[in-house]
Order: sequence, then C-alpha cells, then structure tokens
Amino acid sequence: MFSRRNHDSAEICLPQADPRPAERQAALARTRGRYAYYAEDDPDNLLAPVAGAGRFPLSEQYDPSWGLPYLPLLARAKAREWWLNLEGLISRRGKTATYATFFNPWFRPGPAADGYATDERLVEDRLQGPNPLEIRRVADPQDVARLLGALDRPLAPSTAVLASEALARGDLYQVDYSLLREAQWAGSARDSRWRRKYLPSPHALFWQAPADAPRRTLRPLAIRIDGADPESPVFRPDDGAGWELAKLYLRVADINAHIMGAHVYATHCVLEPFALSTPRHLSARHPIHLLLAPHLRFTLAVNRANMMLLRNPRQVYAIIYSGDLPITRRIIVAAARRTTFPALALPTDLARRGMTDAPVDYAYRDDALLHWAAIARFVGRYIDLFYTSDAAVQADDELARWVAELGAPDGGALAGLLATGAERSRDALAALLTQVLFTAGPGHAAVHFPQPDFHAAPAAYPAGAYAPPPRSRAEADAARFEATLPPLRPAAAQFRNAQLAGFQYDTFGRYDAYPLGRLAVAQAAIQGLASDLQAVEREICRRNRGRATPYPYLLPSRVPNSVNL
Amino acid sequence: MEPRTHWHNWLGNETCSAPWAQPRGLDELATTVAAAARRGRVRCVGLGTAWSGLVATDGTLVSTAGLGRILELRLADSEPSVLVESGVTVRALTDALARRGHGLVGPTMFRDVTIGGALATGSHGLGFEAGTLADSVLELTIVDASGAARRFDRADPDALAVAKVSLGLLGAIYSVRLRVRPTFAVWVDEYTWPFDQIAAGLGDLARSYDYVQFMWYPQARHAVVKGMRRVEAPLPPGQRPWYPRWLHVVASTVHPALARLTPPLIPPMLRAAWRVTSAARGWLGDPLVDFHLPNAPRAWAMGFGVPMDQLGPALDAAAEVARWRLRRHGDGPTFPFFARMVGPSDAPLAASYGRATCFLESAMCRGSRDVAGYFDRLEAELLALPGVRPHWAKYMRRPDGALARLPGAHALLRLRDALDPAHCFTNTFCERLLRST
Repeated sequence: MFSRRNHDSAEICLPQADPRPAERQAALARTRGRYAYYAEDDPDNLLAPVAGAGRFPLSEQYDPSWGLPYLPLLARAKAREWWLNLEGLISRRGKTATYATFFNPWFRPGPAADGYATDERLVEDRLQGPNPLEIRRVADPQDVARLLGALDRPLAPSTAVLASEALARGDLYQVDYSLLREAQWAGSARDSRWRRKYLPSPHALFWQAPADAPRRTLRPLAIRIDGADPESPVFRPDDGAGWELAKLYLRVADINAHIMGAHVYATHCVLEPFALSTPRHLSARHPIHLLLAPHLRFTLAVNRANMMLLRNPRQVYAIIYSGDLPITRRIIVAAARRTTFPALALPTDLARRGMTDAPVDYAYRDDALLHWAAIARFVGRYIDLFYTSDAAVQADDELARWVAELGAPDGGALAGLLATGAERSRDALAALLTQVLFTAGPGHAAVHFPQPDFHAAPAAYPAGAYAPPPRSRAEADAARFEATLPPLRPAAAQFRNAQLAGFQYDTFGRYDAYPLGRLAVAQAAIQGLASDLQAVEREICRRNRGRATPYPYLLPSRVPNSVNL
Repeated sequence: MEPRTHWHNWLGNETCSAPWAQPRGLDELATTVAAAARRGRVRCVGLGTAWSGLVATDGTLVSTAGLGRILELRLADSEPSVLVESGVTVRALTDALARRGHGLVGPTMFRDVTIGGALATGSHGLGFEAGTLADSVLELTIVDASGAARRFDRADPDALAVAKVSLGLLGAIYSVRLRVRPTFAVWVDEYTWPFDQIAAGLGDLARSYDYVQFMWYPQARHAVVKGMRRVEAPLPPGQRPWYPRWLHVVASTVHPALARLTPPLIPPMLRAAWRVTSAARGWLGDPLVDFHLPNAPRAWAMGFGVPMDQLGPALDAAAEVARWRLRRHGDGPTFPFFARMVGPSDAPLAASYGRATCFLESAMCRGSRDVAGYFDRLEAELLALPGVRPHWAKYMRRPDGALARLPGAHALLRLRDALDPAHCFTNTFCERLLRST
C-alpha cells in the first residue's frame, strides 16, 4: 500500500543507507504480495498487451474523502440525464433543438456549446480544445498529396498556391486520425454501412499565413471524412453542407481518438504500472515512493472502474462512443503500440509533432511547458536531497528493480524508461519522474477537464456518428447532418458522463494530506514548487486575458495531483 | 432376410417401411448395396433431416450411420484436406478440424447433418467463397449398383461436378475428400434494420461482408442482419448469445400451440421475438459458432436459391404471400424468413450453380393451419421468378420436373445411365423430379 503514515525525515532514506535493511525488506516483501500485474494470458485484461493491475489491496480503492464530495455531482448529473430522457420522450423536437435544452443556469454551457460550427472553432479546438495533442506539422509532402490528390475537383488556383507556399514554409498542419484506422481489424478496412454507429478516421489539412501576414491563425484547407475508404470524398470549406458534415465527422473522430488514445492510454494506462511497481519495489521509506504517492493516488481504483466500463456493453463506452466495445478497446491498444512512454514526454512529443515553436498560438504547448519547467525544478531539487551523486542512483537496488519491472514485458511493458550502468544518472531519473508527475497532473488535466465544456454538448462533439460517411458530396445535406447526430439516449449519457468529469479531488503540488507534505527535508523544494505554480497561475491568467478564447485547463489551481477520475 | 424398419424423417412428414441396412466400411457397403440393388430399389439415408421426399422408398434403405470415420487428415499439404466417410456429421467434422486449427469451407447452417446428405442435396453454408459445401469436394467415392467403388476426382472435373450433387441418384457415397482451410476469426456486425432499407441496399450489403445472412420478420417489417468479415485476429473463445436456447424452447412448444389454437397471437409473438433477437452490436467471432445455428425447432421449411439480381423481386413476392397469409389466417408466416448469401457453385445440380445466390427460406411451425396452402402459394410465386431454383433438401410441394430448372440435369442423367443403367437408386419423389427432363 502506498505509504500514508507520517515519517521522520531520518526514516526516509535510500536502501543503501537504511540502518534496518532486514526490516525494510520484510515490509516490502509483504506489500509486494498484495499487488500483481495481470498474467500474460489473463482474459480479464481486456487491454492486453497493455499492462494492468490484476490484484491490489482494498486500500487503493476510493475512500470517503473522494466519494463524498463526488456524490452530489453524480446525483445532479444523473438526475439531469433522467430528466432529459423523459423530456425527450414527451417533446418531439429535432436533435439539434433538443441538445440546446441540455444547458440551463445550473448546467452552464462550455465554450463548445456556442459557435462550434465555425471554421475558427474547428482550428481553435485543435490547438486549445479538448484534445490539443493530435495536430502536427506536415513534414511529408505525401500527406498533402494523399489528401488533395483525392479531390474530385481542383483547389482554386489561389488556394493551391497558398497551400504549396505554406508547405514550403513549414506552415502546413494536419490532423490524421489514423489511430482509428489501426484499431480496425486487418482485413476489414472498408467501413460498413450496416452498423448503427460509424467510426470514421478523417484526415484534415490546415495552413497558416506567412509571418508578415496581419492574421496568422490556422485555417482549414480540406477534410477527407474517412481516410480508410477510397470512396470517401474530400470536402473543402466552400462545400456548404458537405463541409459542415465533414467537420462533424472530424469532431466524432477527435473525441474517440482523444478519449481512448490521448486520455485513457497516454495518461491512465501508462501510469498504472507506476502505481503497481512503486509499492511492489520501492519501500514506503524510499524517497521516490514518498514523492509518487500523491501522484498515483486512486489511479488503480479509477483504472479498475474503467476496465469494468470497457467490459460492460450496457455502460458508457458501449453506449456513447462510435466503436463497438472490442474496437474501442483496440483503439487503446493501438495507441500503446504506436508509441513509448519516453516518446510521450512533453518536449519529445512537441518535437515529434513539429510543434515546438509553431504555430504561434498554441496555448496547450505554451502553458504546459510552464508546468514542465516547474515540475522539473522541483523534482531535481528533491532528487538532490537523497541522491548525492549519480553513483547513488546506480547503487539503489530498489530503484533498479522498480525500473526493471516497469520495463519488463510481463511487468509494466514500458520500454526505454531509464538507461542502465553509468548512464543511469540523477538527471535521467529526474527526467523520468518529471514526466510521471507531469502526466499525472497537467498532462491528464489537459485532456480530462475540457470534457464538461466540450463533450457535454453532443451537437458540438458527438461521441458517435449515427449515419455512414457519405460516399459523394451530393449525399451531404442538412438532413444527413441531423441523422449523423446521436439519438437522445446516448446524447444524454454523454452529457452526464462529461459533467462527471468536472470533479476535482485535490490540487497539484499541495501535499498537506500526504506524508510528503510533512517531510521536513523536502519543505524547501515543496515551497519552491508552490511558488513556481503560483507564478504559472499568474502567467496563464495574464495570457488568457490576451487570448481570443481563454485556455483555463492548465491553471495550476485546476490541476489535481493524480489521475483519479 | 434383412430387418425392416419404420423410418421417418426429422420432422415426421416423410415415412416409409423398408428393409434396413447399416453397413460399416467400404466392403460392407459394397456388399449391401449390390445385394439390395439385385432385389430392387435402394436409397441412402443419413440423419434424415431433409424435408423433401428424397429418402422414403419401397426398396432398401441404406443408413450411413455406420460410416462415421474420419479417414485421413492432410492439414500440412499446400491444399489441406480431410478424407471422411459419408456418414460423418458436420458437427463431428467441424469439431475435429477446429481442434486442429482448421475448418470446412461453406459448412452447413445446421451441424447435425451428415456430410453425404449435405453433399447429395447441394446444401449450402454461408459466404461468397463457396456456393455449397460440395464446392470443397476434391474427390468422391460412390458405390454403384454392382457394388463397385467408383472414384471421381479432379482428373475428370465435369464428372466430379455432377457426382458431388446428385440427389443420391448415382449410388451410395462412401467417402469424400474435402478441401479445408485454416481457421480464422470473423468480425461480426449484427444489427436490426427496416426491411425497406435492406431491400434497397442488398448490393452494398453483399459488397460489405464476406458472409451475410438476415432474419426477416414480415410482421415487424424489420430484419436482423448479421454481416461477417474475415479478420486477422486471434480466435476468441466461442460464446453464444443466451436467447437461441430459449427461443428454441418457445418455438418448439408455445409456438405450435398458439399456431394451432390462436393464430392471431402469432404476429405479436413474432414482434416480441424480434425485440428479443433485435441486435445492435459487433463482436469478434468464431466461425464455428457464428456460421451455424445452434439447433432448430421441428418445423416445416421451404427454401429457394434466388439469384442475387432477383432477390428484390423475390422478397417482394414473399412479402405479398406473407400478407396474403395474414389476411387469410390471421397469423402470417409463423417463423421469420431466413436468407443466407453464397457464391456461385460449380456443381450443375446445385441451386447456386453458376451465380451468386441468396438462399431464402420460410418456415412454419408444426400445428399451423393450412401449411400446404401457404407453401403452395409461396412456391408458385417464387419459382415463377426467373432463375429461382428449389433447395433439394427442403419441403417441396410440386417437385414434378423440378430438375429441369437446372442446367446440369442432362449431364446427371447421362452419368446415371453409365453408373446405374437399371435406375436402382431412385424413388417416387426422384421420378417426379426427373419428369420431362
């Protein structure tokens, strides 16, 4: 169990410095027996080969400190869902008109509820919306050719020139939901018309005007609704109803890729091995155990609950999202297969997507980097308290076993975490822990807390498409748009689910309730973190005042310590 | 003196009292058939699951129940195959193959039928890779009236094609070599759709899946479509939905009673059944589970091989007959229509010969009033459509001259004259099929 009792500063020490090694090992062995990964062939692990917790003690489950404040929100959202379903039975309004009634003074609409259909919002949501992790700079001209080559009529000459120039300048961007294609079973690339819900995998291009232009916000160039279907047409912004439909499918794809990929896999699933291997291999007296405990609080509990939802065909994943449950689970597995934990580190991810210094208005990047720097400073100072040299890191056998299990195929299966031998330095350890803390805090907050604002509006972000993607531009009209929106029951369930995501258990960097907060030797580092986070808060507030739409999701006051919901 | 038996088929609509023999192995079969042929007519019988009159005879009945061995498995060959005796059931064979990671090509919908019976009647499976189970036959050994074993294989493909679906008119099938394939997983989409939408999208439905079937409830105007595609995925543990077993119980007990006593309750009951079977889900499936029906209530069933381009008109005609039945008796067809799409067969006597085909079947539960009147009308309406052919194993009201609808009838008769010049392997029903051919 994660340590919750107070420790004297003297008790917290590395294993090589522990005056009572036998007692330490005995306690660690007892704890280790209470946690276990799923066996390789355990049918309960629906996300295999993604690692998961097969066994953990009851103390990891939610307790009243979490449940009691959550209950009013749950009751309110559930009651609202029931009322919406009842109201929908009585009234005979169309879908769009019905969804507009979801909000009232008690359920205030988020930014997504208004103006979601505009091209400006389409772009803005890619940069500071619910999933700002999908957009990337076009590096391969083939990506452009793949999309524009499928146009059944050429771009206007002026647009074609703009696109070509933007590509040459590096000002062309794309979102390609190929993850959703990878989740389909090989051999079944063609999307069927004979399902109730459809899971398109759109590909969209955006371009940015040159540096001397008066307005440099991104603008959309074209969207292909289903990149897996050769019959899927490419839509341009001047395609009227077809363009609106294309944007709708893009948002459907975005919510599915976002929840399963950027959210569930890249935060929940990657932290599960840390939540398991930490009590298994790091003694409760180990300083890293103490550091991680607040940031892994209730992670096993939420992931276990999530696994139950991914198993049950009557629960939210099956009801609201576009894929059938097996496909939905495969999106998570596909997300795991296409990346590694180190590749998910913020600076690495930004570099991989070509988003380190462009486009100019990328609120997620700008705000997240502030957090990254603050966390890195804190972790560096904390590490230095206990590891006086790189040799101390290398001599820490608990740490060695922890890292080995995290990377083992029958353990956490997180490859490339920490080098061995002389390269296992304090800096490398600090970088790893920085990523863990960032993922548990701001990284998760950025993809979790926008849900009440965006996903609560089913017309703006429907989680499922209920009409097959059109095979010709002529098929796309207003009636098709309405038919593509979800029916009331899944829409109301989506509304409820998104409302529940607004619950915040604690605040990042506040360790009063944890032994870490009472560790005398760490007080200076903790106060330094608090001070840095206050500065981050002020800076983001300042930036938000200058932004066309504020981006509040990385305000430190709105970021919890751990992935607990 | 051979023992006599009072034989009846699975439904009980076909009966006969005849000498009965149950040989084991090729030698016993040859001796038995030769002796029986000397005395008169001979017909073979497997599990007796066919509705048509192919079995009942005034001569000798030769049961294939003693011919139940799997003789040879060649699963490592470039063309994997299995050699079996004709009395092996599809269930036993598919289970044995599944244990070795293989499966049949186009296995029949019901697994409790013999391989010999399924081949002889041109019985079909599901999917566009084969028109009938017979399309996977690589060689065939038939015992003729003299007791000689005649082997047909790909050295003479025309003779093999005729012999593999021959209604038992050429002799007693002893053994069959069937092409098999490594097993695979299928992605299954099972959804309920308005019937009009299905009728308008049949072409797209056939293009979208490798395996398509639908259950159509005329009373509810909806159909449950099950579309399957081969996928590269590990085979899942076989799981059946819970409802077929209960539907089977209801269809075997409550349903016939209602049909007999209160026909107007049939439409609401079918609508309720539609609600139960109504589906909106997808899953990773195992062909061993998803290609077959678990079991079937004893009921009357009539089937037709409908060319895909005639499926729309055929469904319209079937709907009209269903409405007629509803007006006349207040119940309509007492079971949903069942449709399975298959590819073209190379067996000239198969209902799916030469073209992709949808096998359309209608069933009426036992106890229903005026079953004959319903099937008379259905048969007349559907066989009036161009290219529609009867299913040899299903109930047939007017078999006279039915073989003439098949382009391979004359080839069959030529081969029959060569193998069975005395025409021992026939019965009254077969003679009616052959009239004016």
